[in-house]
Amino acid sequence: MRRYLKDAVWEWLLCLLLSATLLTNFAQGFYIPDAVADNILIAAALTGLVLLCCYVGAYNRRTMVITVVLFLALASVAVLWMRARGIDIVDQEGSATAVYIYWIAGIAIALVIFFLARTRVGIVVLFLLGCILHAALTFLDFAVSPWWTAIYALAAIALFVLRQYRIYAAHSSTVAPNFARFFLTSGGLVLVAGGLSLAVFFAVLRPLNLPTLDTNLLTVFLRYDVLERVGVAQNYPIPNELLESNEQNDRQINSSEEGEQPDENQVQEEESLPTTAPDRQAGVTGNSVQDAERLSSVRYDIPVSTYIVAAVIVVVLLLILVPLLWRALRRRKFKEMLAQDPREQIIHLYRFYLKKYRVIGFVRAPNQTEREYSAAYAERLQPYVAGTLSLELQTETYLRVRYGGQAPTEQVREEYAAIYPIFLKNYRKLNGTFRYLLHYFRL
Amino acid sequence: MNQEVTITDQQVHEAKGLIEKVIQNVETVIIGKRQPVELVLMALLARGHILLEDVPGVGKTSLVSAIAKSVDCKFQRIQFTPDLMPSDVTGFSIYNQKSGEFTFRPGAVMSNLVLADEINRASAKTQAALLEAMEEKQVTVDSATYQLEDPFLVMATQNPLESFGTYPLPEAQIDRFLIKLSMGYPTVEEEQRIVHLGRAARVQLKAVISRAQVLELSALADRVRVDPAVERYIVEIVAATRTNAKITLGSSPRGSIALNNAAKALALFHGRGYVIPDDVKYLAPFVLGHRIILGHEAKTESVDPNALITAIVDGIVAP
Repeated sequence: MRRYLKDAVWEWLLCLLLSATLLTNFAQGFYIPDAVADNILIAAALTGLVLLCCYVGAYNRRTMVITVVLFLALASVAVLWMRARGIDIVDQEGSATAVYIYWIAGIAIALVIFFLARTRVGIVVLFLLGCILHAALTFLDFAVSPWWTAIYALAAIALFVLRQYRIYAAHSSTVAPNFARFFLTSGGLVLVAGGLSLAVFFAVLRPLNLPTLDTNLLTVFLRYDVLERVGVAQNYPIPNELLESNEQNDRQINSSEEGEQPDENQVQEEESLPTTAPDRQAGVTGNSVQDAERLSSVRYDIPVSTYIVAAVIVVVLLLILVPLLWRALRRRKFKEMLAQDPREQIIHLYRFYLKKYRVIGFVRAPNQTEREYSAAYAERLQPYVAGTLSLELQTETYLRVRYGGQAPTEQVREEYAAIYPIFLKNYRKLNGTFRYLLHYFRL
Repeated sequence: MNQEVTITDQQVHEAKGLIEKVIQNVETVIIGKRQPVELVLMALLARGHILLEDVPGVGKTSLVSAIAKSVDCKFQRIQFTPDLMPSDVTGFSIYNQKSGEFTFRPGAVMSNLVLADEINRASAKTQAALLEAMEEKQVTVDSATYQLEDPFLVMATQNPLESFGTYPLPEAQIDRFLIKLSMGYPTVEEEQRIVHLGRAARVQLKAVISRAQVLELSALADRVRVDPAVERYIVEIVAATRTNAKITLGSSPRGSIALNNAAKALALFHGRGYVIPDDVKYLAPFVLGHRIILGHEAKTESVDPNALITAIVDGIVAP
């Protein structure tokens, strides 16, 4: 356990950077007090705690149960305490929704980052999604901090390099660990990527003078319109001038249709009426600075339970669809391997199986030959390949085919192909469904 | 060369059977030295020579003699001394008064298996005569060239302890030996068996395969398949010796060729018609250990060349 935690510290730290910076930028678009939204330490504390639970919990089943129970207990206690003290009330009207959104977003972001950070492909997805999200937040006029965005990019690249380093260099007896080098490498890569992006922006995009401003305004209007139709927003911050001109147009159209002359008294009366509806008057204070702030924000008043239900539905759907899709892709990839030339099939299958054995802890060192690997792990791996070819037989077959150039018989091909499904079944039987699901995307 | 396997399983199986017969025959008199026996036989099949550095009395002569008897080959022992002349090794022409012509008297090297005992005691000129024979597989005496009969294997010995009155082999000449190995002392149990065995067993040793079969095995070893990935592995190992900080002079391409040939013979030993990376890894210290020149610091630290080669191999990514 100690060694596992020692190895996991660097990953936890990098995931913490990723989640804290992402949450801080994400929170800029919600009506959350600046003391919370701009405070990276609060984001770090929340996501760091979640990530710590994930890493400790991933050690084995027992620690997972303990951490989940502890976390739920702590979260419940924290919510009750905040409600008792009134800390979750963030504005005069008593809306606690934004705070809970912050909490849920923080937990969700930490969980997603934890699971994606477990594979190299996931880290690449994390990097791309994170960059796209930051770009989207900037486009929607959230007050995104460029420093947090840069730290996010650096942390993602560093995490990828760390994962790559752990897979190859950390298992060699002749290569000494050098974390400073790979952090510097990551920094260098971020600078290169950033430089290239800036170069593309200044050299290509800016001269094109794209109508992004108009699109932004259109998006703003559409957003307000959608919100009003859906009935989400209570305070509808349409600029007074636009509202006034729309009402004048409506009056003119109506009176011209009926052939009536506009009644001056009526016009005066209507002009004396406030330009916003009664239920919208609460947002207009006469102070231009405050009004401008309120006009530029969107206030939500949906119950927390709606968010939770929606989130649960989405999560359940994802939990069903993603594994099914993944399994289909995995089967397709496996079938493609079986359809190859017999020699190529054995060679690719052997390497494929080695990748799976690596996931469960049987890592082949770079300087280790196939036979040395077999000698080191055959006995421990035997329960996972019970009922199919042992690791020694897999290795000897591979050696015959790869170095001997011998074509395998049909029976050998079938036996080799049958290893994978039996391996999965044995893994599940030996480690339980929970651990099987934890490693599902990697096995 | 990316050739498919051209030797059948049957051929490999038969070859392995013959080799095992020889080993078992030799092991009746050479107790507990399986690895040196295998390596000497492997060198014989790979058409290479052996440099054996060990203290006196550990069975060097007995080993070569036993192998020679087992494979029905001629065996000759040359005791190198400071006064040994090149002509003692290669042979000389002598005037025959009766016929009025010069007759060639073959030297000790005109044999199949030659034990050059304490080669570092002879002068450089005498050493060169033997080394030339090893390389060219022929001797030239008085402008006449005499081919040496196949198989031809030289096992040269050196005493690692005595340096007084010796002429160390130049590093460039040591390169001509395929492998360098050491017998080592036997264990107590093995030594007791040796004492119990006495001289009798050596006298009774008989040939179990013929010289022609040895030549066939050599030819078969030549046809063992070496995958390009393994060739690349061999070359990378040898190249790594040239860039190591503790080595002043690394192995030459001759080392790559030697390692390749040795690996092929070893593969046949193990009943395979193809070389695997494990063969290369196992043989690298024996084949390359004597081909490198350690740096001053490494010599001061008494770094073992074989251990250094092992460390270098461990730093190379296996295929």
